[in-house]
Amino acid sequence: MYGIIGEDRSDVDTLKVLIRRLSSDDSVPIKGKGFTGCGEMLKKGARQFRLFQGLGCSRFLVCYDADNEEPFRRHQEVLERIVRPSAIISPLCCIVVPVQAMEAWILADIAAAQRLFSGWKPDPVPNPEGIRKPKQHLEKLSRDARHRPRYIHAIHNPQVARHLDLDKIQQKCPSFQPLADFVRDGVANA
Amino acid sequence: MSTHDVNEWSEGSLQEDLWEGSEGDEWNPLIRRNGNKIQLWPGHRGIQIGHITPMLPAILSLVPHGPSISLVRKVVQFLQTVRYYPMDEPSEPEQGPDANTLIEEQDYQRWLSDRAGTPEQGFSVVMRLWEISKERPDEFDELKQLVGSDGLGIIEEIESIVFSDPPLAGIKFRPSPFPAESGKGSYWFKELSHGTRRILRILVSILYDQSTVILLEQPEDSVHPALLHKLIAVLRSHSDSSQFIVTSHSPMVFDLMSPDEIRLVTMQDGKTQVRSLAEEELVAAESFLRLEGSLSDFLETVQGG
Repeated sequence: MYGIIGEDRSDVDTLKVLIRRLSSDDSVPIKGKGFTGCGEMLKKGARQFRLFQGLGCSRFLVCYDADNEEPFRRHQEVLERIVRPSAIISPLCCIVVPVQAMEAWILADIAAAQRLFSGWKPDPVPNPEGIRKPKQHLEKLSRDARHRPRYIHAIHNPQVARHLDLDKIQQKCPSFQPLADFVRDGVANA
Repeated sequence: MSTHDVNEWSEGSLQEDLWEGSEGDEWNPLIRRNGNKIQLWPGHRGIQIGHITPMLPAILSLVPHGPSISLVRKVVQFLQTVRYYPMDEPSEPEQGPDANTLIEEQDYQRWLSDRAGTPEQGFSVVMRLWEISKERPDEFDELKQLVGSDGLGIIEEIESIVFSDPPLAGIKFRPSPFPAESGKGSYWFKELSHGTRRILRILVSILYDQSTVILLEQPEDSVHPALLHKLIAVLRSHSDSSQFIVTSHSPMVFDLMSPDEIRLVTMQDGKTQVRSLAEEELVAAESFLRLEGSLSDFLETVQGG
């Protein structure tokens, strides 16, 4: 069973979808906790991992958006503030740092959004990790297209994740690779 | 741009100012009211109105032409689309504007002509939904998508129903997840849960009125925390065309805001005080959110001091 934490409830919901798709198994058990921001996640993440372990989780994952910071620094921050203090007894722990935010993965295959919004035909995004604020960019694309309802990340990220071409995300977003390697091959990075 | 300040009520004397300017530039006073006297700029013409007479509509009546009148008219139009939405429901389900499950044509026509003058009847969710389903299909579709399985996931289907003999109409809802053990296919509005009715009331208000300023009280009441997270995101998605002013006591709602969006409301010496976070508090909040905790934790400390 997976125990995953993220800065935001919708990040965790999206990760659950992606993990099940990468596993090709909709029944993979996952416990998740979305915090209200990175500060709360860094403060409470360690105890959340201990709780996950107590509930039987054996694979642990943290998702922490890079948000214009060096991904390596974020990785180290999670190691120092969450993984090590948690003292979980498991070699299977992965730290995922989307560049700049998880919405870049959605922008990598923006055409998948058409499965939810049939009238919306956004242009492909060649370099999604080069977009500084991908969440705002995604929502602006929706507003500019004037389709209704508008794209709302908290609602639509997990929905779109069901239809994303995972190969496209891997090609365009190197930050996705650790997640894919962890789920498919059990490769830990923490 | 203009700013209209309604200042103090002091010993029965209402004070209001209307200023004109833009961000970064100097602001110029246009109109000043002190009690029953109004001073107009330019020209400094003074006029008198009743002590509690609304200032701007009175000016449009008494001074229909003048250099600033077109601006006054725009401000009045803007203020007229500021809407407060009472989320309260009658204590008895058989009371209030949504008590009836079926709509007669004559009642609907009466509602169409009366709704501007009777706020309680005007806020009928059922009547508004009926009108949207008939006259505004794009907004009806948008609502269905927002509450459906690809949205908030609370209502599987909204159906408008028409009976010919006698001629009656209604709106029925199929909740999601569907409570199969109930034996019913769908429900009237008043049969839905309190939280579902509340969410529908909020969404219908936003889509129906498309107001410039929307005042909402405690959206968190009776709403599941996981839904509240998504509901606030829906409000935010409409915030480019409407300004939302939301009152709340919920730490969860605070946590979905950014520090610069917060206004603290307190009572001091019998007066209501409203303030935003000071510059140093904003800096401290950003650091706290980045490293230590949630905005609700931060605000608890700020307010406790």
